[in-house]
Amino acid sequence: MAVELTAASRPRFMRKRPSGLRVSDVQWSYAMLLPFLVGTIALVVLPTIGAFGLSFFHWDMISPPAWAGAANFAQLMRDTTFWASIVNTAYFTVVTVPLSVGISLILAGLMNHTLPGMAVAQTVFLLPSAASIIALGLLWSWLYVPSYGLINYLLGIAHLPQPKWLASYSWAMPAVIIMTIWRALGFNIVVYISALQGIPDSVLEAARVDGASPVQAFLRIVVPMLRPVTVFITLITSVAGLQVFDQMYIMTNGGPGTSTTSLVYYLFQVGFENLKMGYASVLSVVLFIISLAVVAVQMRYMD
Amino acid sequence: MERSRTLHGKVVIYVVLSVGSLYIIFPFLWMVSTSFKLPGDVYLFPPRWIPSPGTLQNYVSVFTSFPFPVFLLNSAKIAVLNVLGQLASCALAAYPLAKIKFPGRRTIFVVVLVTLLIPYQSRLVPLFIELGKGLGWNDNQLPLIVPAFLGSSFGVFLLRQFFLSIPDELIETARIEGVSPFGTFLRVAVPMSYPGLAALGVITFFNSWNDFLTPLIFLHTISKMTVTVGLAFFVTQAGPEWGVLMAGTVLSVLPLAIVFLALRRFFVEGISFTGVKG
Repeated sequence: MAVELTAASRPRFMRKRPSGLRVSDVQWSYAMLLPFLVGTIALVVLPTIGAFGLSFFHWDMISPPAWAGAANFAQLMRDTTFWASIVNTAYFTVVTVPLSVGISLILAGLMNHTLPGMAVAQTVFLLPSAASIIALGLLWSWLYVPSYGLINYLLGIAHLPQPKWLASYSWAMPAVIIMTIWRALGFNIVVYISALQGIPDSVLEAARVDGASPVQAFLRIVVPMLRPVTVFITLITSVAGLQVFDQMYIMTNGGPGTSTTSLVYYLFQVGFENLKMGYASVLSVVLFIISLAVVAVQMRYMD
Repeated sequence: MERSRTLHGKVVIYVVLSVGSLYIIFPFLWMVSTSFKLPGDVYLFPPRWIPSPGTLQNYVSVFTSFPFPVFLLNSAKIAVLNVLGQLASCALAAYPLAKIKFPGRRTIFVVVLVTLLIPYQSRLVPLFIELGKGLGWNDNQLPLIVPAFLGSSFGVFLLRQFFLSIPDELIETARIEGVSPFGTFLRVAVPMSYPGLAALGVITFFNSWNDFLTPLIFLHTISKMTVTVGLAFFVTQAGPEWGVLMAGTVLSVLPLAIVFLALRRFFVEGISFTGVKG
């Protein structure tokens, strides 16, 4: 710019705030943030507040909302299906998380070598996560058919017991868990491999020189170094576990009985099949509180 | 990456990974095998891998009973719009958060983090009332598309990490030359962030395509359904005709498998970025 600008002659938008920031910079910042802010308020903040508020009402979407006071909360305490859904969701999460994190850690450790075919293995394991849970749930429902499904056929060959899987009160949840872990491994493996590649070879060399076997070096040195990543993956898997729904819908419809009814599945039934919006809001609030608690507890381990 | 010294080590690695890979692939092979079997052969015991005779009847049934191409088109349309919307809105929002020290920046970032923690399903009922009843968008694809253009905490968080790594000198240079923040964003930040944008794009694409709960709630007319909802609906209508069901599943999985294999690199990078920078 050839023109000499004095502080007074600068156009307003170029005038600087004490911090050296131009007024126009601030305006531009908020302008660029506008879609996100609108979205957050309209689609996140308002509905969350709405869920809390709506839980004090009875509403079936047809007649006007009716004040319920604490009636929904009282009903919650007596609701055996609700408590079953809590137990089921906890069961699902507590089993799925350690298994999928642990197995994927081991597999990532194995794949983290400069050997031919490792990338192929990674792609193979990742394939299920590209497909929808619905499609895969349907596929596994077919595998789990008690009398002529592939899984029981193979178990039969090995002279192992053949449970009734999705038709059994005690085996339905394990069946869903197995399928979930099968699908989740790929994602976790990729994250772990990426983290493993950040570990300098010198660390492993030093361990090797000290006489440690590869397994020892992995367990005593590498795994502790992966702690932040492990915490992160555990967090993501736990949150996903609390929100499990698709598998239940397509594989078991929450059954047999209520043995695979997760919290979100119950929320769906109450809110979108029975249209009890007030009661469904209470369930939403419960989910919110539990999620917050689980995340809060795990974030303690992040530092 | 480790170099495997011993033959013993190599054998262990290959054996374990081969068994594991088979365990992953087996179900898919069985799915394809079943889809080509005649109804009677499906229930054959012991099961046979290669159907003889094979048949395309199951696939014909899928296409005649349900508008599968329509499902595919809907899913594709919604997924692509989601990607465009997310990339635009999240990049726009992430840039000032990363590169401009405007007042309120810290508060907004806290908002981003906090909203990441709120489970989507907790907002679902009020969201349905707000969009479905309030705006009249029931039985409509708009609730699946419009929110993508209003950013997401995850996308903003991810892209902010990327923008942070852009050298400040480049930003300063543009600023001194009088380029607006938006101009700097467009001409400096975006071209340097293709990996991050690609990662977010791929993640958004697959999340959108495989989304089930949201389309389930908002879409009731068959012609508007996505592949996931269409498949589930199809199951309730078709009954336990496993040959046909597997054909439907193959058709659902195949397009995504192809896209996945084509964009594999971006898929993997996307996941890595989430993990390493998360």
